[in-house]
Amino acid sequence: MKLQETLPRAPMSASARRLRNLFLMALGLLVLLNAFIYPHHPHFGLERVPGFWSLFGLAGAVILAKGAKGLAHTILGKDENFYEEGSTEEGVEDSRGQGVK
Amino acid sequence: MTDFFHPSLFFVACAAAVWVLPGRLGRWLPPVAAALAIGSVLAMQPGSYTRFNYLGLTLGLGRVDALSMVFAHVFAIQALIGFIFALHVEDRWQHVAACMYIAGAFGCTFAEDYVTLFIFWELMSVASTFLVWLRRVPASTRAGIRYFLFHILGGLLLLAGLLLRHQATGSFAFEATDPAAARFYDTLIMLGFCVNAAVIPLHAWLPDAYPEATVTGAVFMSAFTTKTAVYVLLRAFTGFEILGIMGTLMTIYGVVYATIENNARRILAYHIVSQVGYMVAGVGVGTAMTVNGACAHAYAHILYKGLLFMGAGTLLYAAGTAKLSDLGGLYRRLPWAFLWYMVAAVSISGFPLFSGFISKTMTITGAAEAHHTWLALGMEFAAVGTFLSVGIKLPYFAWFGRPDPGIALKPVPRNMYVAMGIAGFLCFYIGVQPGFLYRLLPNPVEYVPYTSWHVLQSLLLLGFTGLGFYLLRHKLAPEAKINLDFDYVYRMIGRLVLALSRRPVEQIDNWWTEFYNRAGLRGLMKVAGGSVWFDKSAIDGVVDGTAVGVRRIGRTATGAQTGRLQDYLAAAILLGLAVFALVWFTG
Repeated sequence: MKLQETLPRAPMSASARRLRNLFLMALGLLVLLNAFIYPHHPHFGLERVPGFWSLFGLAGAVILAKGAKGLAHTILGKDENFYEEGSTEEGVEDSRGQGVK
Repeated sequence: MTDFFHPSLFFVACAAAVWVLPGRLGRWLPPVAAALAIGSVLAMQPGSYTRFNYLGLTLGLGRVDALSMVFAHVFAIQALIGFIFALHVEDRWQHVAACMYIAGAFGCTFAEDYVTLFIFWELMSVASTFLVWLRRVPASTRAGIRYFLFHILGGLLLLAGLLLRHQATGSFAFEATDPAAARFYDTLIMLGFCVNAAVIPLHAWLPDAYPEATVTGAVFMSAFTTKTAVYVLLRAFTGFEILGIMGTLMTIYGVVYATIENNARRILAYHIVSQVGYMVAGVGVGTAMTVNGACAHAYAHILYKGLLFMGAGTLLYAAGTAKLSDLGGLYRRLPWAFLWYMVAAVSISGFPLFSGFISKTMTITGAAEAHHTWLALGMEFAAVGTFLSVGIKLPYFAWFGRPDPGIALKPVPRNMYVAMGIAGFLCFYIGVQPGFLYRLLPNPVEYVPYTSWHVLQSLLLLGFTGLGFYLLRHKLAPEAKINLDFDYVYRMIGRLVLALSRRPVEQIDNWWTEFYNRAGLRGLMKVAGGSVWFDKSAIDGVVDGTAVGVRRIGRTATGAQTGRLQDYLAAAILLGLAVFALVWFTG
């Protein structure tokens, strides 16, 4: 699709890979900590389960991204000129407040 | 009297001075007015000041208590930051509009009765409309008209509610309403407030108009309109359960749109809907803790949202566009703007050490402790979306993402960076010294943000949101599209009215032309021929020169009729204010 054209997936550089591995290790460490640090007065049962909030964050992000993009690609997304021609043309006022468009 | 000097007076005086003084001098006045306002807020003592008796009503312009103080405090600070950010703007009307807008916000904050509140409420909506129009591009003119018409609707709801309420209770007092005893007129007032608080589905004016405002105007607008509405909701409608539900829906609704939007300033506008949702939910749950949370979040939000709009405004100012699909790789060329943007982005996302962490979690924990578990979970879900869209997506595609597309950048005035620096410092300071903010809150604070569990929970939530973005980063690439929202409804209503009224008007016009052609014209020509002869030979000889005089008056009259709606509105409002002032001072 169009996305792949605008964002060529270059092979990962060594430093980027190192950064990614560090990030994943940090996430693992956080979940490990969750086994020892937990709420003393959980607001609901699941909160005591180690890793609950990490799953919540990951699932939330995936559901939101997929769901919102799905909505955008089906009913919400419209051409930029949907309401009127040139309605999203950007014009910046200069410091004297005179619009350029 | 010595304990209270109304901050609005500084801004009204400043607006008048900027109007008459030469531009270069006038620009320096608004920050001075804001500094004076900070001074007057810090010097205030609780009490009721500046009461008038007018037409048998007691109007109170100066109710100072813990609730109005916390909002006045941050309004004054944000006014200073905003005016420093706008220091380079030579268009004096922008400064005048911003001053009147802020004067309105302070007026609402200290209003003791609904009449006073309504006057300042309308002042805000008029002045803020000019902050949109003064961008002076066609898109902003149209968006400004829609914005203004929608706020008139909100104002009318409020007016109807307060008049009906007066009829039923005999009082204009602006006090808390008991949820169990709420009547129809209370609902009307609440709806009027909800328009300004951008409660869905009355919110569409916000993402419609804010991205079309001037670079500096959007910074002001992001701070005052919705937060004044949160203040009045807190004042009158604490504990209305419907607000708890609507607020939570707002938090989610805003982030869904923010995830798919392309324009950076529109993403931020949708995040206002989302963030104000936390405050509205706090009002709705209505415990001491969530009321505190709503106030704290309003305070923190004004600072970081202003900073986000300053960052996105800097992008727009320098690059000439705020569309993510046209930006990328700018962190090397605008490093300071990038840094301050990221401070605001981690603040709004609720990272430990930054201001959102100590305010957002307070509302969520408060809702959970009041056994509104679903509301709390909804707000946590919205927190995921906040970090996903404003914390990662926007910066990724604006500042990193693609390689630098090589846009020519306009140099950024230094005062913009100074303002961002002040706001960024405050976001951090409140994050590490929550006591500074907690001391201002209306209820005693028992909540401790920095426990090992709260910190770990936030890091887990945000860290794995980051992982989610990492996995889906290609799917989230911005697209050059717009998204339908509820403004579709009122845009279409406008078109429908236009189409419906055009048909009969055209029809009547056709009939008239037909009639005129057949019956009137021939006879008229004959009469005209005669009268021309009479006029030329007789009258002009007698009253020579009047024709010239009439033409001159006609030209002046045409000058006043520019055919532009905003000129008429401005003239009507000026006239209205003049009449109002006359009645006020002579009555």
